[in-house]
Amino acid sequence: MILNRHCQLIRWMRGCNRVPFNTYTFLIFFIVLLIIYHSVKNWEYQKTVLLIASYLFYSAWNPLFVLLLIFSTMVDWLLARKIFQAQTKSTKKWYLVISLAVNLGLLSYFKYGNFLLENSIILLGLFNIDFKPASLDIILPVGISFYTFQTLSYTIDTYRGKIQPSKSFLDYALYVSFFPQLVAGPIVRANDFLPQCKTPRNTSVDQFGWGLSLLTIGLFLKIIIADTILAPVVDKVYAAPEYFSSLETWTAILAFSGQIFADFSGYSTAAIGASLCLGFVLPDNFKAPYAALGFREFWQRWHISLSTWLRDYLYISLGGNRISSIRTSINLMITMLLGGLWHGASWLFVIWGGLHGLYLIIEHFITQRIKLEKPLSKMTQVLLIVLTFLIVSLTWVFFRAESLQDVITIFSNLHKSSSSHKPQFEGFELILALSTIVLLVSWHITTKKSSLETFFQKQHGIIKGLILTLMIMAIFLFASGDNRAFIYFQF
Amino acid sequence: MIWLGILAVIFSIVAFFEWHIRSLGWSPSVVDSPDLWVEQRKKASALGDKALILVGASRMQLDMDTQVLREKTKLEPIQLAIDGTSYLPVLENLANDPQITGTVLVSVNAYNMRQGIPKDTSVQWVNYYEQIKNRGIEPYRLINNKIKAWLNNSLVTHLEGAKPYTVVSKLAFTQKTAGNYLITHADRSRDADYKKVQMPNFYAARLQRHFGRAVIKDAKTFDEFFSAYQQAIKSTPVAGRPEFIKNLKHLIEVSNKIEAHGGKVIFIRFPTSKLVWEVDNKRYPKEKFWRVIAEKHPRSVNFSDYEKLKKFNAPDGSHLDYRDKKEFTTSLVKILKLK
Repeated sequence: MILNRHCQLIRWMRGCNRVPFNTYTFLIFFIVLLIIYHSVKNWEYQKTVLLIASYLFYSAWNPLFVLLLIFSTMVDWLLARKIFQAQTKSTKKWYLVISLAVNLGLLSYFKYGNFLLENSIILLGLFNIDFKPASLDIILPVGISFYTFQTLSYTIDTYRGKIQPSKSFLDYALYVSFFPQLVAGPIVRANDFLPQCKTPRNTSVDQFGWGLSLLTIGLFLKIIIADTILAPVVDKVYAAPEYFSSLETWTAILAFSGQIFADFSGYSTAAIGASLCLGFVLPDNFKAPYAALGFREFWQRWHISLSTWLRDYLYISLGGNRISSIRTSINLMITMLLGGLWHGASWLFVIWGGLHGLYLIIEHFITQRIKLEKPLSKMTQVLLIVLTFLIVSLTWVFFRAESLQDVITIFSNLHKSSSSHKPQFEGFELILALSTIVLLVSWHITTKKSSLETFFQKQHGIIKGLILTLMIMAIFLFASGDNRAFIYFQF
Repeated sequence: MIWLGILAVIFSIVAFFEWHIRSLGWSPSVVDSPDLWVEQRKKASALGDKALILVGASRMQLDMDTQVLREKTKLEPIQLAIDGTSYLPVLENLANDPQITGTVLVSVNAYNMRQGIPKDTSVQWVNYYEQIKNRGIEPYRLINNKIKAWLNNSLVTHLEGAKPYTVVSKLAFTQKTAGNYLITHADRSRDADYKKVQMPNFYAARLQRHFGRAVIKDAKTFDEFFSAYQQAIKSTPVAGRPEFIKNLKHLIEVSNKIEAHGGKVIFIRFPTSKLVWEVDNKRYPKEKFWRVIAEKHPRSVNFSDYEKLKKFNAPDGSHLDYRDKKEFTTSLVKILKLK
């Protein structure tokens, strides 16, 4: 029971979505905002419009939790100033501790409260102590993991002397609550965002057009690739894995790799696009992760804003690789275990993080001992990329399965004989899902050293127009009906 | 410029499919869902005495024009009728809600008083309402649902809430068809266009369903088919009264409960025609059954008592064509005002 995934991941799969970009509500909200924002000429007023819009955007999920967002914003705004003004190192440290306690305390209560309670009951049960407290029934405030990490980075960077606290509360509040990245990232650093608040953001026509293009591409990834092509295969197999053959299970495992990428990078791309339409530049969050050669590179390309956050504020704080080889391994493992837990209150996420920690340690061990005399051949590189992708895909099973029992069933399916098995899918569904994955990985390998923007810029205007028209047409044709939440909203 | 071009192309494609699918005979229609019903049910409580609550089944949905009701009564019509199901679970649910203080119109006849059974849609939808009535809804979802309902109600490419891809792929590349004879509006009222169905086949199927069994299996002509039913109706016995009396007692109790907390309940016997009417009249003669209903609950209207209601012909024997509902509703409202 303790290893069951409980409700979080299941909720998004059943459509319990939270203020996503793929809704008519967002479309209208965004159009109205663009008109108002670009009509106002005073920069301070423009930022105020954005701040109000961001709070409205958040209220559209649950108006009460805006207060929590404002509370978190105010606490770190004040503490960062106190840290900056403090004369002694120990005073600075105390203010930082308060910031950590408040932020992590809130995160622990809202995100891990139920999880901790359930585990306490089980732990006490092992000592024959019958502890039956009332259920906490805590609602997880959407995006709390993202904005908590942003506010924490602000106070830690102030403590480390990397940044000076913002003089404008409006700028800082906008940094924390800027709606495109508020509920599912990217996790933006203060020194990336706050300087942009100092001068008016003059959105050029090209920038605006590219922003709309990114918004379209992001929605296409989410609605068409993740929800329409891949999710049906994944959902069906993971709902009752015991009924599926080896081929079907393999397809679902690979399809989930594609689904989670298209879902999460789709959201990030849409967020970056929406920001660009308002003149703000957000950092890239994904850079062809399935073209990674090894796990270190994978984490440099997957959810970059989270992995760099964990590196800068956890791994390095623990000592990083500066102490000893064993200590480096321990630090890597702690970072990845907590990184896993950040994704949700479930032991399966912890196992998933732990496995990635293990892969990183093994890779670290190998690269420390084997020094290549000449670069790897293209063929070997491709083979290693495919191997990395396969291991990453198999590890996603822990991320997606609903219980440890399902994980075991899925892995035992992988070498199950298919001869007497009654197919559960139309051949077309599997072929489409597999083709999508092959295309996705090939696309990542092809664009490993470039970017989406470079690819688009190279195209003729008519080709660009045609691609975007087809994407919008596909979105129109498939957008209605079952509305699936973006996977990463649960984090 | 690229974006203007893209928008122009997309708009033209969508407009083309809208025009093309409509020209094939299809009209926009929403899907009648538990969520849509719950939305209406919540309004019934919220509106208090400003609500004109419609309870029943398909006749209440097809024969009543909500726009006319709104204009003529100055009350807000709330369509709670559910197609092909018992209305009693809905009426009981209203009776148990003290916030129901509006006027309740109930489609009643002698044979539809049976209580709901678990598999009835009405039982399921009422249970669903009870489960979620106090649950908050995210504001964005509320807005989204309203926009979706508006789109489904306005665009044929969103027919019955289906993905436009499904609608386009299934309908746009076919020959001209009769299209959808039944349209559901966002307020759950319905229009039936009997010019779009094949007659007398449709009426024959309705008659067989209403009669409850197939009387003739190998009829060569419709004349033969209908005369077989005429014979069968003649030999049909009158229904037993004990069950009816028991059910009526319960119906009256439920209605009294609504009236006790300030509501007003009116029973309406909607028109049926041709052999469907003959089936009803043979099994449940008005003198033996409706007379008792009207005695126990004087606020009752039977279409056959009023010339202005009697003249309407139900093309399938059981429901009015949408072309008649405005006039029918106008005439009915005048009579209801006397009750």
